[in-house]
Amino acid sequence: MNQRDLLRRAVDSEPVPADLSALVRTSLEGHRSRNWLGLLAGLAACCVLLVAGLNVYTVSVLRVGLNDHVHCGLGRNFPVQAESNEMAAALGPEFGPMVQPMMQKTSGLRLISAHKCFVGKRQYIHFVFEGSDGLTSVSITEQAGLEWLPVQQEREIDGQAVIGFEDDHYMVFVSSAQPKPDLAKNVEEVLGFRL
Amino acid sequence: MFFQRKDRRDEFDREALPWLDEIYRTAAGLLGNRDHAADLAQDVYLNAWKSYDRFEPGTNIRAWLHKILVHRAAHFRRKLYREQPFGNKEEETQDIPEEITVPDHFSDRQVNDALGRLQAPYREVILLSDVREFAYKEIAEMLEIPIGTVMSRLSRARKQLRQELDTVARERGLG
Repeated sequence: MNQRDLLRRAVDSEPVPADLSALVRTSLEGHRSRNWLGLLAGLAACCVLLVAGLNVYTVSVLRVGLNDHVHCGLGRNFPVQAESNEMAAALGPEFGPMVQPMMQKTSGLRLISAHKCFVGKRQYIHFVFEGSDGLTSVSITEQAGLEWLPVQQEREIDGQAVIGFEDDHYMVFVSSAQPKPDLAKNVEEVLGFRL
Repeated sequence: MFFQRKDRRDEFDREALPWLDEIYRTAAGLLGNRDHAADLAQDVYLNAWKSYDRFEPGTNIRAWLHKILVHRAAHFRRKLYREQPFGNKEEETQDIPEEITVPDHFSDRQVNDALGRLQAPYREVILLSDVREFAYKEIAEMLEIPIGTVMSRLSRARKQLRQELDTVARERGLG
């Protein structure tokens, strides 16, 4: 007999385990399921990273307003003005007309200063209010670069409550010891900004 | 995308799974152990599925599965038996390996045992050539060695197998 035929017969006489096909199918299905689970886990991880990244980004934008509140407001580097016309004059023709409605719409708070100021190279229109919890700043500044607050955001940063929102060209921040969402709403109405 | 993937899965199952028995038996011949052969067959199919995106539809899936088999078998042997790579210098030959005639009174078990006593590289080529009937060129591609080496290994494998069978015959008083 040809050795090749003898060998072929012997090798192919080996009985195949009855459960081998099922085992292979199970291991393939297991791997395929793990692939989907892995994909879902990856997506979940991406979502977590995205949310965490967005939070870091939001805080970094809100700090733009907080900087003005801390350096100009809490640092008392602002002119205290007794008269509303002084404040309007300090803001100039574009923002001066806001002084009266700001005074009327902010019950419980007393407007003590309205001025233009710089923190670093950034210019702000800055309203400073005095209330039972200390100073509250409403800071308005032009958007720069990729700064973006598509919806109103509120965070506590360095012990201060900061609320921020945006218009096409400006970002508005309300910074204070206690969050003041009502004030933010009123400011929004005064400014006529749309969200 | 999900449906595309499902189509590929169905295609893989349809094309590859019919070769499972053959893959298992070749694995048993390569490893000489049924339990390890079953593990190896599962491993081959898992690896085949993982790399199925690289398989060109319409090409020879049987040869592709056997290529994965010999590579995974080498990995198994290194892991299980701490086998050293076959590093001997081999003399290549272009001679067509001789066919050998043997008495037909050997049992399948005796033949399989004799096969198991060959060195792994000889077992590989004799299984792929004489049992699975792949062409020398296909075997050379599977094992990533020159055709001349395939032929020389096959020649030696056939002779060694014949010697092993002769030994069996003498021990058992056959022939």
